Amino acid sequence: MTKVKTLDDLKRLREKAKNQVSLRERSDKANELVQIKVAMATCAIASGSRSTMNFIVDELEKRNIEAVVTQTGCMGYCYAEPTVEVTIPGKEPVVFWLVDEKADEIIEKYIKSGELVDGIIPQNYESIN
Amino acid sequence: MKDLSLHILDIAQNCYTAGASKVCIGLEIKGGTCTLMVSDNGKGMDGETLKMATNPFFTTRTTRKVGLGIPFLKQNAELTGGSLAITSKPGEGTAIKAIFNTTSIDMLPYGNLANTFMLLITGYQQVDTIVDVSWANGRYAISTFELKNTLNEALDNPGLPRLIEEMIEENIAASHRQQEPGQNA
Repeated sequence: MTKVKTLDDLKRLREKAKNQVSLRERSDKANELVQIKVAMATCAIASGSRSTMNFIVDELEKRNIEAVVTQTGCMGYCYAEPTVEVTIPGKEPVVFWLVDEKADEIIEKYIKSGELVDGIIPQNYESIN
Repeated sequence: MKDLSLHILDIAQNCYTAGASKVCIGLEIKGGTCTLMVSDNGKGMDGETLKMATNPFFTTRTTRKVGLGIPFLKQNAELTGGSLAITSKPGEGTAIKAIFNTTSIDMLPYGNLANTFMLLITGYQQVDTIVDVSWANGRYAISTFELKNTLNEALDNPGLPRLIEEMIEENIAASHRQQEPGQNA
């Protein structure tokens, strides 16, 4: 596959993709989609949250799961970084800690079937926006 | 922080938290010096806060009592014989300039710059993040709004972030043909 080099390359590739799949404007359905917040504060970055974020974005694309993935600030769990907060529509947000390849399990079990996975930080916190 | 790209990812977060609508990230690598400039038009800091910004025991967040991002960057710059300077004006914005001596044995590797820039651009689509990387013989610049205007779709649509990263990576590599990332200039 030739590499994407210019903005024009990118544009052409996306035009082709758009003809095959209808890419909905996801901000319209933000409340209906799974929200994933990956902590991206100093403690998180130093513990590898960037690779966690990349991994999650790639996995969601591979499995064709629609979700809104955003970066967030310190949630206070510096000792447990990387942390990820997952909010399934209609449910309370759940924070997972020490997320690396566990993100795979989180996506497979929690997001797809609602089954709780090990490594959850209990709910006595407030979500930071 | 193991490399420069992680520092950039970290320090830039402050800009978005400050409510900036425009963030400029400049990286200039030439003549044995690497200069990182991150500036924004967010809410800025007053004189007292600015003095405390490089203090590791100072932070504006409420969850912890330490704020290590800026102190770490300062330490890493100074270890190479460089420096860090911050200017800020309340209501107008803040600018950080970190200078590294690339010939120093303690110089950090650049890391995955393309990934950092992609994460910042696609993670904060309402903000115009303007990235400008220049080496001795080449230059590459890209911005959020430039991408949005060309593509007419959400920048975090499935598959797009990785393509954007690839494009940035190719261009950064091309603009410094004569140097490998991570090597001292």
